[in-house]
Amino acid sequence: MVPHPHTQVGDEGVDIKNYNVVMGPHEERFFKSLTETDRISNRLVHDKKTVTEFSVQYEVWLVDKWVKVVRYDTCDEGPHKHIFHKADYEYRSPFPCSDLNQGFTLAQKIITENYKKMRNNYLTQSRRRRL
Amino acid sequence: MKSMTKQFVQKNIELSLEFDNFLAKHPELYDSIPNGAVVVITLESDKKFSEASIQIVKHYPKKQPIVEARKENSEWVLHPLTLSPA
Repeated sequence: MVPHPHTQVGDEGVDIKNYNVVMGPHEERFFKSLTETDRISNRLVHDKKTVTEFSVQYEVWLVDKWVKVVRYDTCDEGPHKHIFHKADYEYRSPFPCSDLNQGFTLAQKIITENYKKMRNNYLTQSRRRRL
Repeated sequence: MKSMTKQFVQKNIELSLEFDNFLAKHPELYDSIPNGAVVVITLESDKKFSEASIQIVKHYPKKQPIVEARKENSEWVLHPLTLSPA
C-alpha cells in the first residue's frame, strides 16, 4: 500500500504537510503545496531581510516518493536552474536575477506558473529515454 | 547581478522555459548536452542579449562543459561553447 504523499513522515517523525521548520537563526526550510502530488521544497538562508542563499525545488510524487524535477538555487557559481531526469542525468542553465531576494520570489513564481509543463516534460523524457 | 536589466532577466526566463519544452519534444538533442553541462541561451536575432548571456558563464569553473543553445527562428541549435578568458 503506497502511503499518501501528504502523510509522509520526515526524518524527525513529524508530518511534513505544509510545515515550517526554522533550522537555525538564518536558515528556513518549508514546503509549498501546489496539488496533492506537486510541491515546492524551499530552503532559504537570510540575514535579516536579505536573502544570501536559496534553493527552490519543484517535486512530483511518483509511485511512492517525491522526486526532484527542477531546482533553482544559488550554490557554487551563482543563481542557476537544474533540470533533472531519472538515472542522475541533469543539465543546468544560468538563472539571472538582479538580487537573491528577487531570485527567490521569481523562482517560486516560475514554478507555480509552469509546473504542469515541467512535470509533463519530466515524464515524457523519462519514458522516451528509458531512464 | 546589479547590471542585469529587467528585460534581460525576463527574456532569459522565457527563452529558458521555451528551450526546456523544445528539448522535451526533440529528445535527440540530449546527445549534444553532456550530463551536468551548463546550457547557455543565446538568440540569433539579439547580439546584445547573447553577449550578456555568455558573460554570465565566463566566471563558471572551467571543468564543466558548456553548451550554447542558440535560437534561430523557431529552431534551437546546440553546439559546445569554448570561452576565451574573461
